[in-house]
Amino acid sequence: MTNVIEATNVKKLYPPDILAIDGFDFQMKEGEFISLIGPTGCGKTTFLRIVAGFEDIQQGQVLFQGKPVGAPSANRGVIFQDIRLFPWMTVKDNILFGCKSRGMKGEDQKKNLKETMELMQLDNEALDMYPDRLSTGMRQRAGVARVLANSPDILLLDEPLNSLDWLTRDYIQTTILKLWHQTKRPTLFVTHNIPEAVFVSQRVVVMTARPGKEKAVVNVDLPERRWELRRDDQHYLDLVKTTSRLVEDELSKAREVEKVVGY
Amino acid sequence: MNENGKIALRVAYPQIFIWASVAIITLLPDIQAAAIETKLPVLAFLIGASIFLAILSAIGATNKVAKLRLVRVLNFYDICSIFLTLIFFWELLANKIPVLDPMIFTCPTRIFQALVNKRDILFSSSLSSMFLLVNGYFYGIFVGIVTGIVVGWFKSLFRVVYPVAKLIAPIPPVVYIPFALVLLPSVTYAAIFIIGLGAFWPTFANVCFATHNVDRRVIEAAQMLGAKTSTIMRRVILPFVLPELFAGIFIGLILAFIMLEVAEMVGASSGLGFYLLSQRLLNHYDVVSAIIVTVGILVIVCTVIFDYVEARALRWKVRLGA
Repeated sequence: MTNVIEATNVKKLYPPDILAIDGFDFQMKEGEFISLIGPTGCGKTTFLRIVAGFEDIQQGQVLFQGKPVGAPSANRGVIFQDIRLFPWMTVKDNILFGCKSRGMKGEDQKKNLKETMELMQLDNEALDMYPDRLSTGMRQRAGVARVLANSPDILLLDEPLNSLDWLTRDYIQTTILKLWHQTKRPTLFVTHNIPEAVFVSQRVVVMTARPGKEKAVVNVDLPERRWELRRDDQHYLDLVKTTSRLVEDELSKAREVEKVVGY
Repeated sequence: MNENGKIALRVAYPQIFIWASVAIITLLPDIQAAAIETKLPVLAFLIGASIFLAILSAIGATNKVAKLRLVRVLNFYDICSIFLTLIFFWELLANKIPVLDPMIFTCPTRIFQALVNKRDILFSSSLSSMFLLVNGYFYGIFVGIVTGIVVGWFKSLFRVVYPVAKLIAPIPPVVYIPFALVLLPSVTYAAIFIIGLGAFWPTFANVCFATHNVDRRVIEAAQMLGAKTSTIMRRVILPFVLPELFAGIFIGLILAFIMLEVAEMVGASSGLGFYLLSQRLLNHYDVVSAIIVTVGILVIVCTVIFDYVEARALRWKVRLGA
């Protein structure tokens, strides 16, 4: 079986001289839920953007489903931290934007809309509203719905839960977990929240300080029905501790790098 | 003075000037008596205005008017006050006591008389002018929007075209009239071309610049949802630049009106600009004033339609509580 993502020796340089990623190797198998974690500026978001097709690389190779990643496409759905709904479209038009862009039939659109609405708990009233009038939590739910309506082959989550209140955060987390459990759709989750990374994923990839590469992989051998996991589960807490130590190591290095660069 | 007293004064002020105007028009002898055939139009206008404002204030007094509505209504009264004061003093100084030159500053009585007497030719001239304006304007802004988006989207094109456009745009389109008259098949085409050019530049400049500075994050969102470039241009960039677009096409509308009058004065054989020039040569300043009033009305009508369309198109921008 080929890997969904197969990245070898990736190097990404932001001109003129910011080396974001250097010599990064990464594999994601079919059906995996992987979290990417590391100190700020380690290139975890950059890597997600490379997979999404927003960034080019200077060296190495990134394969998606066995082919080099090209321009952004509907089979790689991105859920952004800043949500990025189109403010001039109602929630409904936002959700259906992808379907319409790809020329989906009217009935299929309706079916997709209904499914994602139910999944993300969006009611009819919200559908006709403009994003500016929604709460942040509602907006992010619409943001997730918009991507899910497109049925992508992979979900790329770029710190999507950061700006949310605790309840919404928990709700979206659970929804994403249940959805993954049902569909086994490969999911790449970028975050700097260590407990969250451990809680949701099967593997946590810890990246080094900039230039980012793989530092360690933590295998999270917790039961799959993760939303039923208690937050005070001892094994879970141990894993969080292990991961924390790995990240803290890099954090101090990151500070040194910043000193050298002269921040 | 308390709040209600102030409101009463603002409501009463236009009425005072209406009836003062009616009084001087009917009671004092006319200096320009020879040119006045009928005073009916101006009196009908004044009394009509009085009744309209009275009904408006009666509705306002009986209903509980919301604060915001009240402010708007009172603003309307203030605007009426300015116009009615102008009419009063104009009539007084030009037609009742000899202060203004009666040939150039004909009086409101004669302007209203001219508006009624010449209504047919004013109407047909307006239609002819609006035909040119609508054609020129819509060609101008359409080309401006399409080229603006395309030039703004392609970075290399933008870097070359935008500086050049910035140099050429300030040249007033009227200077091209000699070429337009020679190169285009008829005066009508030349006029449409000049009007279109007037509308084109501000539209193009605004759309082009706004497209160039479009939020990359929104484009990325559209791309990852599977939208093609053509879809992105139509459904993402166009709405994204809409606020700047409307700012541009509003300046375009004003410029189009200016170009319209200039073009009609230079080459046309119909339309308000042509009519105005011909009446000026005959020293018919009452008709000239009536034409100016007509142009004013057309501009106001176009602006009101424009504002309505803009508010509809940008309703997603209206936030709660705004």
